Amino acid sequence: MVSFIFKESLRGIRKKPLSFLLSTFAFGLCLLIILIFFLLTYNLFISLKIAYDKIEIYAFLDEKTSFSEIKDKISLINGVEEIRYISKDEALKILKEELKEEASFLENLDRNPLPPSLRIRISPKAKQVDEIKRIEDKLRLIPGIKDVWAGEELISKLVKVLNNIIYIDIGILIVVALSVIFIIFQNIEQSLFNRQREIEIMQLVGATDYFIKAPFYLEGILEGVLGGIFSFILLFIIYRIMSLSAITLSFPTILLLIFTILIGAFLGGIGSNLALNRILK
Amino acid sequence: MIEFDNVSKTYQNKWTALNNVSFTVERGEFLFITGPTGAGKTTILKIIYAEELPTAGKVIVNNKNIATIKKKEISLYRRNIGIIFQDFKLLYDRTVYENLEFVLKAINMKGNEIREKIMRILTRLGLMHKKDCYPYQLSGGEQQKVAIARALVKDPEIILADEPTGNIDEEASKEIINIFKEINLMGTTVVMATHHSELPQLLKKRRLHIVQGKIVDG
Ligand SMILES: Nc1ncnc2c1ncn2[C@@H]1O[C@H](COP(=O)(O)OP(=O)(O)OP(=O)(O)O)[C@@H](O)[C@H]1O
Ligand SMILES: [Mg+2]
Repeated sequence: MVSFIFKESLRGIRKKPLSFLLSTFAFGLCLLIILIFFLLTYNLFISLKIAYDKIEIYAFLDEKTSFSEIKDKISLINGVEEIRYISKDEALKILKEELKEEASFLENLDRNPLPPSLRIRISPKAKQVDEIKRIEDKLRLIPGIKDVWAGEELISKLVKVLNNIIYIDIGILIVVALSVIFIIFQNIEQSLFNRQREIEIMQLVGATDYFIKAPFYLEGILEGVLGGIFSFILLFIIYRIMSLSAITLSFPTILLLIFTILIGAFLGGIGSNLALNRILK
Repeated sequence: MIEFDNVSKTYQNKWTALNNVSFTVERGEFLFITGPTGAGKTTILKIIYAEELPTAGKVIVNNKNIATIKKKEISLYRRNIGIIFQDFKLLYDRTVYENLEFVLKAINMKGNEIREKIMRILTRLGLMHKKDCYPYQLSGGEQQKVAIARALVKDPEIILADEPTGNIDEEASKEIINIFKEINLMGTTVVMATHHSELPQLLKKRRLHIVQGKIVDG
């Protein structure tokens, strides 16, 4: 049964090898666009995730205020997870480390201008613009805290960028998916046309719908999978070339390969389905 | 085996192809359907193999009302019917053997059974020596024999033939008709549509003569 379906499917492909090959290539090239956006989005997410995880609220203290005095008050605020005290000396040390060679001008200071500060880590749940704003307002009310920097504008920008990128991805996914489905649709339509006689005979002798349609589904899915593998190979080549020019992207090989094959098979199946539904009532 | 009870068929374009047709075919019978072109012969056959549904009336085949058959049931129902056409409908890129094999595989028959069945039917129709030929290498009569072999290979209880000799010369036609006679002698019910109104008499078989969708004789 399976061998019959396979044989009939291959027979259909062998009747038009060139158009099968070319449409598989076209399919692969279209899919490559999806893959490139997928890869870029994936990498962007990784770097944004790193930035996001680092989010802390900075509270700058009065020089006279002692940490132990206000620590408990801050801990009481909902969403605060950990408080670290940075003394004036530590702040200077951190600044020196960050500036590296350019830090030499700091040597000439006669007085440390940096205030003592607190770095407040907040729970993941509280990492939302509104929540951070709420925590920030509460911090400002605590005597001894001169200034607070929470960077919620930065976070809201990040979220906006992320949302826009997801919208762009979805838009591209839809447009490319439609073109890719159309490629398969046309190919299967041609196969159906080439094999009218076979279909007619099968219907007359009492073959089930499943037997009649399966070779065409198989062809579409096969084309999708082959096109997917082709696009994966192209993506890999592009990735290696970019690595040579020192653009380091993370490349989740297995994830990408599975994603490509699944999406290829899925879109191929849909294309076949549309053609079959249109032509075989 | 086949019973038409007041069957009418009106096509979508409002053309009435059959008008209150009633007849029965017994198991093992050989029935000719004759009549001028456009009389409705093909329509009767199409209704029997559920290609068309009647607009009115009952059609009972093997105790089953085909007038109300569900789409899903059609494939299983047709396995019991062998259909032969004027234009053979062979697959021209496959050999005689492969043409028969295709049909049996399409109805999910097992491999070893397939070979045995094909060999038996090819021997019976004297086609063994042509088993690896392609249809274009065969005469019209031989091609029709292959089509008959293809209809018979799945051992149907009913054979429907629509103008089976329409495309072949007189000599070959006689042979084809004789094959149908033999098939019928082995117990298969045969219904044949034809223009040749002298055939029923020649074979001493019952005939149904229709004109403009109405039975006028038989
Ligand atoms: N699918 C269809 N749609 C509309 N009208 C049809 C259709 N099929 C057949 N008809 C009409 O129904 C009538 C009967 O057709 P049918 O094919 O049954 O005749 P027939 O007796 O087989 O003729 P012939 O001897 O020429 O094969 C004809 O007038 C034909 O034009
Ligand atoms: Mg006809």
